[in-house]
Amino acid sequence: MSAGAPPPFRPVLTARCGKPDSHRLGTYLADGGYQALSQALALQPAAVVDKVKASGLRGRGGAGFPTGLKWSFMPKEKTKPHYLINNADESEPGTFKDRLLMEKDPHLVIEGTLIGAYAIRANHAFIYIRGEYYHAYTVLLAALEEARAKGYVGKNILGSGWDCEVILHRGAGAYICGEETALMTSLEGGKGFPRLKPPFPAAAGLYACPTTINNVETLANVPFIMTRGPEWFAAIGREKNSGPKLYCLSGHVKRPGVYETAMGISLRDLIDVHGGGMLHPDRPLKAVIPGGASVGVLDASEIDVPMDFDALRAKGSMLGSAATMVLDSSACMVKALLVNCRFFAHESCGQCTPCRVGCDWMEKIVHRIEGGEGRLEDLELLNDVASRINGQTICPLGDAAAGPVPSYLTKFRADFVHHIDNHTAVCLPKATASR
Amino acid sequence: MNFAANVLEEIDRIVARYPRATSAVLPVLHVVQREHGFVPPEAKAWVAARLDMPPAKVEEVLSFYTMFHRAPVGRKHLQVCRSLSCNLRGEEEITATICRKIGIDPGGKTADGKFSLVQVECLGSCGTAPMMQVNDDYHESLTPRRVEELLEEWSR
Amino acid sequence: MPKLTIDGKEYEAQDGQTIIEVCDQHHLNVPRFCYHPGLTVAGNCRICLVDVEKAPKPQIACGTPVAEGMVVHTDNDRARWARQGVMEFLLLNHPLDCPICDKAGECMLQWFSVEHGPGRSRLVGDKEHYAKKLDIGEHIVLDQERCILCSRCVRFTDEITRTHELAITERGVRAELNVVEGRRLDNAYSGCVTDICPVGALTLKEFRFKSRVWFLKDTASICPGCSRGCNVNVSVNTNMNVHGGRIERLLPRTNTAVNDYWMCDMGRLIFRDLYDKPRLRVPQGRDGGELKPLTWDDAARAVWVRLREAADKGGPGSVAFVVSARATNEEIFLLRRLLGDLGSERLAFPAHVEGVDDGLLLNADRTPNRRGALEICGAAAVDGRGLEAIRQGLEERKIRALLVAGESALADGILAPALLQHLDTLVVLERSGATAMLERAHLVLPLAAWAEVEGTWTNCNGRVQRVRPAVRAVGEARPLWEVAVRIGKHAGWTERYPSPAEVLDAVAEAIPAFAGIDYAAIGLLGADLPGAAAAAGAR
Repeated sequence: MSAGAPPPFRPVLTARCGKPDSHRLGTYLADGGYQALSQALALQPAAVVDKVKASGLRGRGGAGFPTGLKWSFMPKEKTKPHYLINNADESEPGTFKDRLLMEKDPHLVIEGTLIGAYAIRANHAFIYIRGEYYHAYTVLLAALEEARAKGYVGKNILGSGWDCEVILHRGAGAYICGEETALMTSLEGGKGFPRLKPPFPAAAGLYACPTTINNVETLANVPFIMTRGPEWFAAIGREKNSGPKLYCLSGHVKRPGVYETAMGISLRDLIDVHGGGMLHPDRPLKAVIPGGASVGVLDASEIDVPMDFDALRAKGSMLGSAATMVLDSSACMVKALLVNCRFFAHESCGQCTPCRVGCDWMEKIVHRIEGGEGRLEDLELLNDVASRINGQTICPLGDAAAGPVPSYLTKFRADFVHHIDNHTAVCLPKATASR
Repeated sequence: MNFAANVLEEIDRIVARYPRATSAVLPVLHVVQREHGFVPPEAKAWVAARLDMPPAKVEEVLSFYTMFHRAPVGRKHLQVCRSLSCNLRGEEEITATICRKIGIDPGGKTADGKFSLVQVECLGSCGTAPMMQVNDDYHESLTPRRVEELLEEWSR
Repeated sequence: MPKLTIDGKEYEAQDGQTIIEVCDQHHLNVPRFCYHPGLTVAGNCRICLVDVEKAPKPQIACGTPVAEGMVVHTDNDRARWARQGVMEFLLLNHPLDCPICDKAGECMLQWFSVEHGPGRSRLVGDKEHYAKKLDIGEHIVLDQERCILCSRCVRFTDEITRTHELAITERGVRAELNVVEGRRLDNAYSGCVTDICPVGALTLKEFRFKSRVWFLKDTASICPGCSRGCNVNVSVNTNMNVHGGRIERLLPRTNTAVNDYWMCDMGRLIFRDLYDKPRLRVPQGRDGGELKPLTWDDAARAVWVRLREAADKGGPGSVAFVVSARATNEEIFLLRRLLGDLGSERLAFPAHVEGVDDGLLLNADRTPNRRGALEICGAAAVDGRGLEAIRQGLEERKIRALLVAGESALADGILAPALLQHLDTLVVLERSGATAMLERAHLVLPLAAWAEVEGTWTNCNGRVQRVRPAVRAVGEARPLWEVAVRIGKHAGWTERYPSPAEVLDAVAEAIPAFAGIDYAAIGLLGADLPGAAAAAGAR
């Protein structure tokens, strides 16, 4: 263990995940499950919102928006149906934490959804799960039936007088549906086209009714905030960056997987302590993408950074979906950028000009460079094209595609220059290794 | 479009779940694809009529979402993840192994209809990369050897 | 009423207005492709990005509601930089079709690329390609490559016609505009998509390759196709080497009180009627069984003399006029006066009704001035009673002279040749054709067509609008109002009617329903009859 190792953290969100039959209601109840719901129902919805506000919980889907604040945007007076949507469309490259919760602890997901729905005075909650997560879907479906049979879902829940239907809805293969407004358009029966804001979902969302959209992991924290209190949550991590956090570690590490720690673990410790260090002893770390394909890349000199919202932002990157991808010296950063550009070009919905044309153009430029057909001016061209996408689109997908590009170009310029100067498709690490 | 009575009932139950019928378009198309192996052209008009939405909008949906097939796919539809984490852990070799073993390129289908191959984006299995989804099932932590074994097993 | 500053000047806006609406109201230039005032906001083209102070990034003018104290720059460095990026993306895969594209000269992509584009392409390699020259409807050709996916056409078929033929399928850069398999873009307003398409992706078959738009001279007028009176621009080719003087197309002219931004396909193509049959070119009189040319002087005198004779011989009501409801208010007024001078009130306007009102613009009443006829001549003249009385009068031989203006096709119907053979005088005023009626006519006078005439029509809602001459009348054809004045001179009229404007003044004086209506009041967008203002809103 490195010096200054974090104190051992007792898992909260994933506490049940390793247990046999973790997905069954019996297991959940034996652990005190659905008591949080009970407690919430004994309060006024506004009081539940206040608890979550006080906890400092920030969204775990990628944007990090304060959850309690988002809930408080719902209209004070209810004149139309309110809707809660649990965004289970997890599709950010490198991310697989929501899948773990859904497959291994579906009742936690359901209870968090229910409390969220109650807090925003909704009687319908949708869980929008990406279509490819078929196994998680079957697990969640079975869990919902268990919950319904026991009266946790449906009419007059736990005798509170509050009704709530939970509708599990499968997507069909579109990353963009993870964007909250595109999710709503998809849920209404259309293509996953993001919407202009204003109007904001809390004013006019699903079916033009007030709607709140939260990530799976975000809502999974809510039952614990109820039973253990907002102060407990706030005490984990640091101010404005608190609570237990799931980190998805992948790439060139010995033990890729989901790791739960207090928010703010150092990236170095995440890799070394939890991930078992680099995959190959003779291939040192070259780069880390801390929060998914949408965030800027860090080089080996930058990994002593707390993995939280504000620290990573200060470093010019983002926590995002905490999808930490580790690249060792065998990786070509041009190739890595190409794979990501290809992803965004493929997933662009095509609605607005800069993203539709620009993402494809960026892929083409990087493809040329990677294939040995690049020119030196392509580096400036790529940077410029990215800058014309960033901030000019309807939704953050354009920002996600374009935002990280400068970090590749500045921190790993050598990889790009190698392809260009040598007119080669052979990547720098391979070229170096073969010498 | 011919559906068995129980399937029609299932579709009715699905539609009834939603405040608006059009919201059921994805789950109903999933049912159609489950029953037929793909979404046949006649299905568009049927779904449009059933959900009271213009056929043009059903066409838009079908063409937008990658999971719907408009022509039959192989009995084993191999969907290899090509996003970064899988790419870093050997996806290209997996894809090449498959192509070599069954003799098709990504996007293709074997003549006997046993296999089809596509490359897809992140399937949320980065901790067990490289991997692929075959029909509904995930096959994780693949090696070229393991892929060959699977293909041989499925070829029988 | 928020106050905001745009480019250094303060403006007062209404609650709920967006930046682009305020700019348009005050004629400030903000480029746009997907925004259209007649459709919902899409915000997808991103060309209208403007710099809003204190906003973290440029905002789209079409989707940003104004706020008190907002400071907007439409043309500073930040706004121009943002737009140049968008223009470059739009042009990246756009085909260099300008030399063969109908839209050249009125193409929004051309306009804004000159103003805001980078001027050079930085693309290395091939453009993305899509299908071109797709026949997607009776009147429409689609070029997917030129399409910038602004979705105006999709919104039009979704929101205005509600026929939902168009879809944008696929995703990302491979997104494309399509008709769904098995369907075609065949609603009654399909031509409108070619108006609103900012580029040459959707073009009208009937206009394809006909003329370059910079040769076209536009005249504001009114469509004659039905009682809606959609405002139009009549485009005439001024290129004397190619179709000089021909009408090449009709486009809708914006009038939010009548047709908004739209017109139907029937009206859009109605100008072709002017060229599908040979026109009558000279006045003619029957001499020895054959029609021989006359001067207008002789013809007008002959009409008056013969009608006068018939009236004298037959007594009151022995002269009848059957007139097309395409006649202008001025023409109807003058003809009624003429008939009155002949001691008769037998004036009828045959109905031309097809189907039912379509709920949008196209009315079942396929005449542009039935309302005008009603207001000037009374209900019986338009509701069939007048026409029936004339038919009876012909049968009973009480009518000795008949003047038919623009309705000679009635010889195939209600005014069958058998009814006409006893007449002392049959005067036919007509635009074109060689109908049975002409064979029996004693006098045949060539009329100018609607596109060659100055005058006013009153639409179904009582709005009086100016129809204006876009082309010269062929040969010696004259407008009906001029013919009436010529004949009237022989009837002893002393008034001077140098133009239809003076005639309309007379109408306003004589008919209370038209009080206060004159050409100045009508302008280019029309004026409601005093009693009709309330009905105008309910289209």
